[in-house]
Amino acid sequence: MTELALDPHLSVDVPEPEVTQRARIHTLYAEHGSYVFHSLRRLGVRSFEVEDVMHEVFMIAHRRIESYNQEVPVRAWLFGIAYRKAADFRKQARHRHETCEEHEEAIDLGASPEEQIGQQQQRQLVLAALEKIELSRRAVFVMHDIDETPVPIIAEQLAIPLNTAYSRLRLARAEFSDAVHRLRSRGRA
Amino acid sequence: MSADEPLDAELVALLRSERVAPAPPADLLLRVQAKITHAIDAGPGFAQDHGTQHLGANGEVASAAASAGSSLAAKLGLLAVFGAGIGVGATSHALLVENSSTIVTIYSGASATLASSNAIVSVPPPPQEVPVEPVRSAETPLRKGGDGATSRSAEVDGSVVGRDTDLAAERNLIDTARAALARGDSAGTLAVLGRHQREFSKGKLVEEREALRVLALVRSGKGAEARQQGAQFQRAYPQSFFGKAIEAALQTIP
Repeated sequence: MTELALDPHLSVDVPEPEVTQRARIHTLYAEHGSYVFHSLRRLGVRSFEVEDVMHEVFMIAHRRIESYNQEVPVRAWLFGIAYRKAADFRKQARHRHETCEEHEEAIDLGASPEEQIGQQQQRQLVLAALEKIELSRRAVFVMHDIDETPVPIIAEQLAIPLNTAYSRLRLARAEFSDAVHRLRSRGRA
Repeated sequence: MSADEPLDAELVALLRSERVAPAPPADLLLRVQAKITHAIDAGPGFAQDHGTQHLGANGEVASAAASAGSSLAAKLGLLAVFGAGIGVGATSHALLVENSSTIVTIYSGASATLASSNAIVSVPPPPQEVPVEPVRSAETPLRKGGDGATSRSAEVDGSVVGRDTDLAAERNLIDTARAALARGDSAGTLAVLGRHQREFSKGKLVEEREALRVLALVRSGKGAEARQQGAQFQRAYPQSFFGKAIEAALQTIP
């Protein structure tokens, strides 16, 4: 579990609770900013929106940091916030008649199917396949199969029953597998 | 396939590669860090003046900024200043400067400005020539020292405004440099940073200036100079919140 350590160089001239809270959020950002960035991309936040959504995620974390339960892995806690913000942004995008088609195109796997896929192509494939999974199921799948978060913690952070979490994971795995195979087939066609 | 069944090996390998995703763009991390600090420093003024406009569909964020700032403001006795309607963030930052020089170092990357506060949530501030029109008291004209410091003679009832003005001008230069960097104009970035160095050699945003300088040098392909500047930065600001972004940028040098 990650400790939200204080920065030892903070001044004592500002009242302690505020110093603590500010130091925590900045430490949190320094340690987990990259994680939130990638989580948001996996949740379908497009590249040109991710900066604003990241900011909002950390502002919510800033507000809630005093109520953070240190028994919960901090990344799972941040993911829960990121998931809700990603859902909000997707709704807003739909209202603006924008659809998330950033990863709709087939993945070009190169001339030879046997050729080793580059890391960049693998990431594109993963993001494209994730995009095919409904968001609430995708969140469970990402938390479990990428972040390796235990299902009970996922259920708690996403505020869903445990059985629902397992059910969503099962469905999401099947969807992910199908999506990968479809995308690969299209890439080879 | 059940939740208890392992994924097939091929998919597991795919997901493993995703776990080691490359670092996000360093300048994006810097911009978000600055926005976070800016929003926190701006406190309730940010939430009321900007948060509800830019984040209308997300009142949660606006209230986050408000709740975070209001507590700090109350303890620093700033509520009266927040009511003035201008320079909210910059004023609060200026008072933090007065109260704690260490805070300035750590949070210099996000001190507020009058000019760019409207852009803080939506997009990076547009490039523009500086300085901004200062907001100052007619009764207390400001005089600048060679390093941008406000003359003590102005610091009677206009002291806070004077610091705000300098900070706003500094921030505007830094924002201009950041915008240039964001659009890939490394030379322009370095030119603006040079101007900041000339006009505010002992300014409040030196740490952010030097962080941006390293990023611009990396972007412009000046690897050796970037490494040298980066090493100096790490020595000067070993606890900087820009440290990881600098480190990530330096690792991209071939």
